Amino acid sequence: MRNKTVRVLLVEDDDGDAVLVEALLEEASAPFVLSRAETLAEAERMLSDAECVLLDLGLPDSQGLAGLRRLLAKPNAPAILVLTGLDDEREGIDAVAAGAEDYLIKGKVDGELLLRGVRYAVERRRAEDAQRKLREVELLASERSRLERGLLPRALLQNSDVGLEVRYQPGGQRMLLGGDFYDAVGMPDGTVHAIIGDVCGHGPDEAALGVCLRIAWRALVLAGEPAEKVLKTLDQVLVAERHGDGIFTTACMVSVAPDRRSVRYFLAGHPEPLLVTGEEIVELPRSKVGVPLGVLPDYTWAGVDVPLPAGWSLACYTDGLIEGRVPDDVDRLGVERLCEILARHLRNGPTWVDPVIAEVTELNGGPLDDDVAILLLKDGK
Amino acid sequence: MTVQDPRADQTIELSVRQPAPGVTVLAVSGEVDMVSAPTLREALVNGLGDGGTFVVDMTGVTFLGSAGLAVLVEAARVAQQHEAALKVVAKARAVTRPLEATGLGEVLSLHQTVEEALA
Repeated sequence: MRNKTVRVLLVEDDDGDAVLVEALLEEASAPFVLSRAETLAEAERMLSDAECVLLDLGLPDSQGLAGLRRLLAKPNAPAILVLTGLDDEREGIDAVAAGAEDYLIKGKVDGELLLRGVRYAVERRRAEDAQRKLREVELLASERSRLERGLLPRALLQNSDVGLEVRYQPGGQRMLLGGDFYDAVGMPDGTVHAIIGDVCGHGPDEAALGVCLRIAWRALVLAGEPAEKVLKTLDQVLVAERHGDGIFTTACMVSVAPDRRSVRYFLAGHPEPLLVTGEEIVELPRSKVGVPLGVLPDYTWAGVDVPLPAGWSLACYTDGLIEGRVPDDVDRLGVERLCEILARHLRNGPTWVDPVIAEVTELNGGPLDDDVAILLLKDGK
Repeated sequence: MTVQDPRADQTIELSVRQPAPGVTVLAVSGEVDMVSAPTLREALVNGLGDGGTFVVDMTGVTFLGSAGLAVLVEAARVAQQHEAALKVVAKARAVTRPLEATGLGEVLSLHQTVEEALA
């Protein structure tokens, strides 16, 4: 700080006082760049370039503390030192109470005192800014963990012979989560229901809507609603809760039978699950994909029944996984290439989820733009 | 109008023409993703406010992400409100594939060419 040039803005309409301040700074051989405004309006225009403001409280367009308050209200306001007359010390104290870093009395201040006052003010402001940024980061982190708890729940699969593996990777460089969500619930009769969904868009509104839909889904399933009705009701919830007309949600809902030998799945504009057995990816029947939730009123989604071979795994995922870029190709990754990557990793054993995400990310040349959620159900029998 | 995507040096190009009174053709090319979708949305929503026939020619689109699909869904709603006819020209695999995969093909009026859409 000692040798660093500090940009100081002097707000003073009196030429004599302005010359005096300039002389004091020169006397202290201070590394300052001094600019001057004669009115508060002029100061407001020049504020963004200053690290410290020396503010006279008696200006043509502002008297007393009103000018100080106006400058402090500006976004990223710099440190402000108030200049007062010999008989205005009370006003200086009031100015500090109102948010000024300090006050200096004209005629009682020498170059060294002025230099020290400016330096302290700038350093204090920097420390306050650093503290504020730290608080913002902490706030963002706690906000994110609150959203994560809502979006990425503890599955209700106690005492179930169905294994569950889940992954969530926020897209790009974003701190906040998007609208991908998932859940899994085991029922008293042994049926295991699971859902994975993707609210279109990114940010806290979409994340909140994702949480809302996941909780609604869990409540409907636990209440014993038939699978056919669950998506219809979720559709109503989405339409009631969304923040814009164009907002839709894709979803894949699966119900694994108690004997673990068949699954029924429903697609609402969502990629089909991948059925894996051993090292083989079993192609599921090309079913008619229903529209996403929130698109057509009073739509009915039809389920598809599929037998499950022994040792099955069922991978449900969001489209962030297949929308990554591929080197030297305008086309995105797509399901076919995802299956090729998956088949290669299956030969190395059953723990393929992280290696597949890593390879897709590498092909993309960096973090994937969209969030990626994977929900993997496994035969535990 | 060209919008630069700061993340990937990708652009979206929009050009508008009116081949006949009450008919607008908006040609879109490039990648319609979360960065460029708001620009497409603005052009669509503004254009549909006038009613008539509005053709979105997506022949030159190389990627259509969920943000772009959301714009088309919203545009279909706006068209309904303004009694406009929204038609989408979708021939490239990059456009037809996401429309099929999401089931949105049955919500939108899809055509192979602009001529077919205007017939």
